[in-house]
Amino acid sequence: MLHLWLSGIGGLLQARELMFLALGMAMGLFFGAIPGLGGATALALLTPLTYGLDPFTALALAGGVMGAVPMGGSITAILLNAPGSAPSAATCLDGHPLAQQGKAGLALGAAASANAIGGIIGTISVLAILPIAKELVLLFGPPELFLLAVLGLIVVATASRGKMLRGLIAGVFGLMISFIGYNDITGALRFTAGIAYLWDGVHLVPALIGLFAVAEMINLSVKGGSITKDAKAVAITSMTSGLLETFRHWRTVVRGSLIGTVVGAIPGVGGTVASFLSYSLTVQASKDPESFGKGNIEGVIAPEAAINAKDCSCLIPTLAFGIPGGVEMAVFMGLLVLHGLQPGPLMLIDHQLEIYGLIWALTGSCVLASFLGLFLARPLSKLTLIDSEILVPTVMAVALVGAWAVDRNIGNVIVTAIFGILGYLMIRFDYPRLTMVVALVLGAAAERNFHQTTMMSDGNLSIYLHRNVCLVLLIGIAALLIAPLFRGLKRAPAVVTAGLGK
Amino acid sequence: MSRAPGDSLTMMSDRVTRRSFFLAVGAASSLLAVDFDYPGKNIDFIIPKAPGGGFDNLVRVIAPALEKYLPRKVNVVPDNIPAGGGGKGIGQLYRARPDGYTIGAVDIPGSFILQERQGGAGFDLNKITWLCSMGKPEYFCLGVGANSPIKTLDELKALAKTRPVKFTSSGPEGTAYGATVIGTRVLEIRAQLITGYKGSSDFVVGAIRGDGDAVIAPVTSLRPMLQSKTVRVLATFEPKGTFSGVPDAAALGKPELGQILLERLVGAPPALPANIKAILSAALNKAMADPQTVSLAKKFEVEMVPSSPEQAVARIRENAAFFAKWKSSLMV
Amino acid sequence: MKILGTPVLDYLPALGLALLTAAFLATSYSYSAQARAFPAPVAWVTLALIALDLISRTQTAVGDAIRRHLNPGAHAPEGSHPLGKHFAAALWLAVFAVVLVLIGVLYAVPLYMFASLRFQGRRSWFTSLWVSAVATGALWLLFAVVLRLELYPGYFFGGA
Repeated sequence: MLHLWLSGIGGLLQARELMFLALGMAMGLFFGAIPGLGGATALALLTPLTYGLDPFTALALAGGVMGAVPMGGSITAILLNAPGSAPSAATCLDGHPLAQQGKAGLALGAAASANAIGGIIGTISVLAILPIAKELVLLFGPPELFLLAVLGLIVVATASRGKMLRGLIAGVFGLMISFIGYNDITGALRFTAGIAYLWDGVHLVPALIGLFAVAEMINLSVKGGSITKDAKAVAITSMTSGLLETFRHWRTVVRGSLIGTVVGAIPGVGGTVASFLSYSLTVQASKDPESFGKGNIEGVIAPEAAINAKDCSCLIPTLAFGIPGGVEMAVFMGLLVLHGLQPGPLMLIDHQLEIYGLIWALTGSCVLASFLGLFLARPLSKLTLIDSEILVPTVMAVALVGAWAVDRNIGNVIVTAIFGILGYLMIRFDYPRLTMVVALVLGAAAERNFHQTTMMSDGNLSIYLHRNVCLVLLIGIAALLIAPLFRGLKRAPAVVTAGLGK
Repeated sequence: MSRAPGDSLTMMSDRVTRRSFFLAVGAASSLLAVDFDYPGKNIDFIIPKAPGGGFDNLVRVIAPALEKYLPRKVNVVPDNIPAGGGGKGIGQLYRARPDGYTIGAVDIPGSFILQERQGGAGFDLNKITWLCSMGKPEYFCLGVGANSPIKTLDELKALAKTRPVKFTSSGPEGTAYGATVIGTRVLEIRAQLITGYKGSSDFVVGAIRGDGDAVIAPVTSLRPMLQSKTVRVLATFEPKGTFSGVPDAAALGKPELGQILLERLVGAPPALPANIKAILSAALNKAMADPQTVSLAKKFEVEMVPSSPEQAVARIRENAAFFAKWKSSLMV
Repeated sequence: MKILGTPVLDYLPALGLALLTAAFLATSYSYSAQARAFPAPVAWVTLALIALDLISRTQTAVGDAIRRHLNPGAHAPEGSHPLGKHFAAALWLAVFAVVLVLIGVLYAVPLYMFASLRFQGRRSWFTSLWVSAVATGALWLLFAVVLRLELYPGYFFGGA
């Protein structure tokens, strides 16, 4: 196996492959930063350009794109509260408050280094588990996926314990929104009010652009001024401080990377869950949970480490069985097929060199993009000093056009506007957006997997007790529900105010 | 006022002149209705499936080749609209302007099931302007996970006598769902479907994992899994089987299994002008005969065969007739 | 006006949510049992939670207890900006979205940006013009030239 690893690196370290890797990285960084575009658009654009390339070079280019997209998304998430892609929305929660405090450089530096380290840890984990990739994918069926969704929802709900009631309300409201559209089990169209756009449910990326970017711009428009008023803090912020913070919080990096690796490997779950789960578990584990949502650097490190770790592990269900974890992976599969690489169990046997080359390309691009992010941290942080009168209309225009560009559907613009107003109302009336986002992502999957489990077991709930992974997940759920009780009993009756203000 | 004797000639001459004039105007109008600069902008190629599946891959292979064979240089842009099990995409194709700038790939007979279930979707497959088929139709086959205790079709049938056999499948609008319902009825296997999987890869893996007892899927989906020893094929619906040691439709004495086919047709909105139809149909056939398309399609076992719009319409009619026989079973 | 010690306006967010949830619940009962198996219970739970939220906003002993145990970190709406400012900010967004749908990207973006800079931001005519021109140009370059997308033309100009 080691010789395959080394062959993969060796194949990549050729002038041509490095050039395409760098090109992919630049495109990934740029596309990742623009809300609504992201890796899927970049890959879709590049696919026809790869026709004349050999498979290895095409994969170097694709790996370059996919490895750099998260860093691009982090930049706009931190500076403008505008997540470039869905997983980056978790970075908004503490990244943007840091930018508002004049510490955008610190946040960008931490994001860049967490990105790189998370990517490396994710790569090492994936290389280790690749030989058993097939078995790993087959471990997670509908019962496991349902419990995983429940676990995700509980983690997030209990993380907002200072505002648990409002967090729960936002969460169940998000669940209700997730039920809109076509139901895979019954074939019924629900809550669409006859609107064809809603057949597919509420599209996630436009909703997130609205909830974060647009809501923040409305907020800025009302408050006036600029994102940060502390020009001195912006001037003295350095990229190395962010780097040092990441090493200081190495446990958060490792935890986030492992969460990203595991969640990314589960078919159909996706990166958004990984980043939000990592964030929520970090809040839970923190001695200072009330500082989250107000500019805690761990709130940047945790999701960033998870996002890049999941990029590698997302390849496992995609390559092993042709089950894409998201739109980006689905487009990537199209590129694979064009180059004669059919995703499936045989690919893991017959094309190991290409697979290892791809994994190294992803990692290399992630690290390079992080360096670039570190380098650009100080100049980019000056964006936070731009006056709201100029910034607000510019970001609004980019946000709405970007929302349209997700799939060239004008309905996305309406969704973004509605969620923008909803997000602003949630800021004003202090309802956490975190629980709503996670519920929005997990709701439909939870329902589908529950119904499939019921069909598998003829309605017998003991199925959850007869499967090993389900038992582990049930124990995890019980622990999450009981832990706050123990904490409450141990502490003095001082009020715990978790800082999920966003 | 009376007419002079020469007036009748004049009148006839007038009539001829008037007739010629109106004929000329009519001809000019019909010419104006047709765009001689076609195509003048990008063509939208609707795919009513999610990105990444076999259907999507095939369209993405054909699209760039199609660009080569159109009379003018434009982009053919694949557009995934999987909402509503594909109903939204087909509806969008149906309601688009018949100007040659929207075409779409439609899978049969899944779309018939959709049309029945989602009456409100407002499309009529019989009115769509069919352009050609995308490759030869695909047969289905029945398989189980490699770790399944079931080794033969007879064992599966024996199991069906004790309880319904669980088949993993797509949502209740897909061709695979239809194939599973019809196939199990023909084979007289009491079946219960576990639906909701997102695509063929998903429900085949579901069967491998043991979510269900068995799966009915296109031959092209199960063959790679067979080669990697993750599934066991118990029966094939092909008239002449291509799996060694596996009974085919003829051996099973069920020739009607060979009528359960996955077909992909390319269509355009109703009332597409004839010469645009001719341009598109010709370009599509050339695209499908392109060596690169043929070689890529071969990788996922799809054989590209040229076909005319009339042949596509004939396929639709045959499928509609077959589907009508099983409508009551499929609409449960 | 106050109800149970709390201004009526403070109840509005929860009441608004309750209304939406009630409509959702009523609609869910028009679907089959399997189709409403998840949505209906979720809606009932939402209504129960909203009821708790409403009680927690009252200045009563029960309300106080709920607030202390379930919402200790929650705070009243922040900032002291006039209500009109909030409506104006939301209205600018809503109008921009509607105009974009109606007349398309290439007309709506410069129009909105110019109007926002000039009339909301009170920038000079010159600044408003060049900033909106540059922003529109950048968007056109990115989406129409680099990405080769046909920018949405607007409902009035043939857009879907």
